[in-house]
Amino acid sequence: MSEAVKKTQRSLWMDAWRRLRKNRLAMIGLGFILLLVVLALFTVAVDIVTKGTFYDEHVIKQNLRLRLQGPSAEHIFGLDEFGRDIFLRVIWAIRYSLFMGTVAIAISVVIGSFLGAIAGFYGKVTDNVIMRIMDIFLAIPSMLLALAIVAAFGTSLTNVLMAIAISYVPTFARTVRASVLTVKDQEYIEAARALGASDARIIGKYIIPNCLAPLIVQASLGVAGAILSIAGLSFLGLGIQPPTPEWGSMLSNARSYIRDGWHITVIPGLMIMLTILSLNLLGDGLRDALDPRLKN
Amino acid sequence: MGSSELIRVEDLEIHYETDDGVVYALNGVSLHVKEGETLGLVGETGAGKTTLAKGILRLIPSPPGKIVGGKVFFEGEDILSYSETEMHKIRGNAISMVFQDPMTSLNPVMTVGDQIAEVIAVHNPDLGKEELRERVIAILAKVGISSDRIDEYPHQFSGGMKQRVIIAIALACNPKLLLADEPTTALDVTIQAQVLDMIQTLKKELNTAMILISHDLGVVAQTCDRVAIIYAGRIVEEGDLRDIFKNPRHPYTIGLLESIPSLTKETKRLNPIKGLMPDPTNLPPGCPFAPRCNYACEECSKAVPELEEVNPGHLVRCIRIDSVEEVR
Amino acid sequence: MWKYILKRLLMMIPVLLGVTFIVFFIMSMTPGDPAAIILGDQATPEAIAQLREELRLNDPLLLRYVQYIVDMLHGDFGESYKNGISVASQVLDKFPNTAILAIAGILVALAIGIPVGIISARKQYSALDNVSMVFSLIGVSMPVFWLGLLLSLLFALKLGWFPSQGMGKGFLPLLRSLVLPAITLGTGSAATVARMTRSSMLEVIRQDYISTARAKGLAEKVITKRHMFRNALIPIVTAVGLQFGHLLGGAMLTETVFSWPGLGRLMIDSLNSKDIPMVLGSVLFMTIMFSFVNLAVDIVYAFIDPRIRSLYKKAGFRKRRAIAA
Repeated sequence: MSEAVKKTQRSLWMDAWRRLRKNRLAMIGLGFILLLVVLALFTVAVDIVTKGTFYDEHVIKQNLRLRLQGPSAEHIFGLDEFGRDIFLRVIWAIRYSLFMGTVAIAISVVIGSFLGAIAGFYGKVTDNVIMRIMDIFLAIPSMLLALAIVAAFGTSLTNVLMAIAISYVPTFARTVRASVLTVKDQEYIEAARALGASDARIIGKYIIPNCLAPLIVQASLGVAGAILSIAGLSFLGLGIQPPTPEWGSMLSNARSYIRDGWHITVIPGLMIMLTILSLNLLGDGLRDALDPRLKN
Repeated sequence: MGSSELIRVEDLEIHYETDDGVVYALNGVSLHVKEGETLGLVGETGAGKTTLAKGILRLIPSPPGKIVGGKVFFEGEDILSYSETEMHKIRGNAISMVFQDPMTSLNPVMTVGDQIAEVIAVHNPDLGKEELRERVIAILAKVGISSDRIDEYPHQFSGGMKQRVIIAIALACNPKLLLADEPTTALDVTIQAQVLDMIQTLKKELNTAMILISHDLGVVAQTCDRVAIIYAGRIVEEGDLRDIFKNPRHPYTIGLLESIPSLTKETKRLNPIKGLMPDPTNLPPGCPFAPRCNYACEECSKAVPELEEVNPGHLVRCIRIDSVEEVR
Repeated sequence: MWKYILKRLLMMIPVLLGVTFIVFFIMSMTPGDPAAIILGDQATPEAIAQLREELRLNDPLLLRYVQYIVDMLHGDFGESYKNGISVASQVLDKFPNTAILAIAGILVALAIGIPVGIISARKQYSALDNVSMVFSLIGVSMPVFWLGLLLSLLFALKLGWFPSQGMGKGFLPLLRSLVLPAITLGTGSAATVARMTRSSMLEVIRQDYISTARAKGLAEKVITKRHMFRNALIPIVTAVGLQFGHLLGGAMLTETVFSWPGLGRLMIDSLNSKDIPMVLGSVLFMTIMFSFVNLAVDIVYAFIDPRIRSLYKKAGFRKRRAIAA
């Protein structure tokens, strides 16, 4: 790629970043996500330094004498039904939602893009076979698919992750296929082909970069959906199991004590909502920034 | 043509207030059209032609558009002071408009018959269903569409046929004035001629006046009685068809005429106007054409020249007419 | 029109076969011997072997799948491992409850989402628009089960206006018990529908045919109703159709929060007791429902959009050429 082409490409991304920075809501979303990431890393660091003793002592250990105590200076979010500090549990739970949501979507982005790129690029029978299989997966409501997978393979972290990842594959396959189809017949691809570029080179060098914008947007919204699904599965008792702190399962436990203290119901749900809201704001902002034509 | 004046636009000024600054789309346009007369409005893309037509009907989307000043007298009454409800009675009835792109100007989910019937019904609320349908069939016949297509949808029509439907909508209530915004630009050349012929015939039949907006001087020469040349939101020259085509005085008009190929004169090369129209958010203080003008002097970029009458009915907005004449 | 519906029905068959295969395949991966589960800890190996034979568990997977499909076509989804009652009868017993909840949820979504979306688009960038868009973003981001818990905390436990659990018997009690679950289930979809309606309306507002309609002298109200909304409807219908899938997922969560005796509850309970035929049967049943909803959405398209309709009509040459162009 020539210097000039590189330069315009870089400035396209710079333009998008500039537009994104102007979007106040999207920046608030990004700020909150970054705060969560920092907090999650902090908890991981604490676990490593204290060899998990802090975790066992303050996040897991029950203290039934103080159960359901409301927010106070000492415990700003109060204590849960087993007398554990809700603030700490909520902070320690970030990693599961954020990490699992991101990894699940990363997996489905990789698989989905691969399938979508092949389908779009080769067309004909390949396209038909792949996309009909994707249609079948799309025909199963994603929550049900995840549920079936978890039911069959058991409720482990990896199974929940795979369940969510699989249910998002068709979305990304469709996104990438659509972009590939619009790019495929452009003249510069013809030119590259005429110059003897291999299929792999054309896909890697020209087609993938052109699919990035819609993919990034879809992925950021996908992470939000994945986190919501993980929390939902955990709420149903099919995701992350107690006593591991996770927002959805915290809410599931809080259900039985809903009369006894509002804080145990409100706080974990608020965390889920703020996280999803931030991701949605960021996703909307990215869409407007990467494709100004779509902006209303 | 001794008939009376139908519409008079005075100093119409329209701005669009956008995030990137104020777009000065129309900067004091005055013109008039007599009953049954056809005025050609010629200019480049972005000169303000469509804004003028939409401004007359008060169809400027607001925000960002805003009618800043001026008056529009239709049959002696200033319709800019009308309420929105009063305007509803004018639109499609006394004044109607034909838009540029027939492919997108019809509602895809309504039958063409319903779309024509709608305009008749809204201005003739007493008509019954049967009468309405009869009138639709009659107007369809006038634009050369057979009545058995009345219940078809726009996607079943070709571009030329769609434009006929749009013209049928515009003429359904026998308007006094038709604003035709590039009515044939989007059509094939052969279809263009048919549609133009049809408009001509119908407007004579109904004695409708017309403002024909076009960038195609050929179309204008064929159809219009008078011509106004618009540049950067101002009329720069106005006159009879003969005045403009045989005796153009403004350098821009001269440039426009020289940039079209002629069959009669031997020319080795066409003579396009160099440069681009100025950015409408940032118009120069003087004559907006000065930066592109071969005859421009220092004086030109100081103030916008006035529109002056060089011959009866022939107006030119240029302070260098005399030197233009000398050089030619 | 009939040709179109028939074609869509035929296209559903391979998808449904694929769906049943995938779900069947996944569920067959469940560890543990179903025969042992049914008979419990005290079973003798002989008894287990005999039951395995009866349940055809020794047959190859594909053969069992074919057998399952054949049975399914006869309305037989097998028997529950837990209580031996036929899966079909239990599913059909609970289905109406879920259907009531889902329809109420969709009604909430439409009743809120469409007017809010239209008003927002008509008054773009106004305070009203901003407020309703912020609320719909929050609505989209709200976990269904949390909203359910908050609503029951406030309106059932604190204010006592509505019951927090169960499904009322008789029309009025049913309606009263339906309010909170329906709002819970519908809010997220209402937000999505509002956002979709707004952006779809904004897309339409820019179209040339809206200028044509204005130039006809029509009142804004008429233009909104007759010209804008009908054209904006196609993406809205798509969104509503897709929402139905979410709604089925949300229904499971809502049913859990409000102890609503529906299919979702049945499924979760079966999952917890490893009652595989029940899970398989109810997942398949819901998926088939979802496919039929999608079919209905496609048919609604054809009603709204004459371009889609005429693709499937017996079209003369002239018309077909116009469509192709």
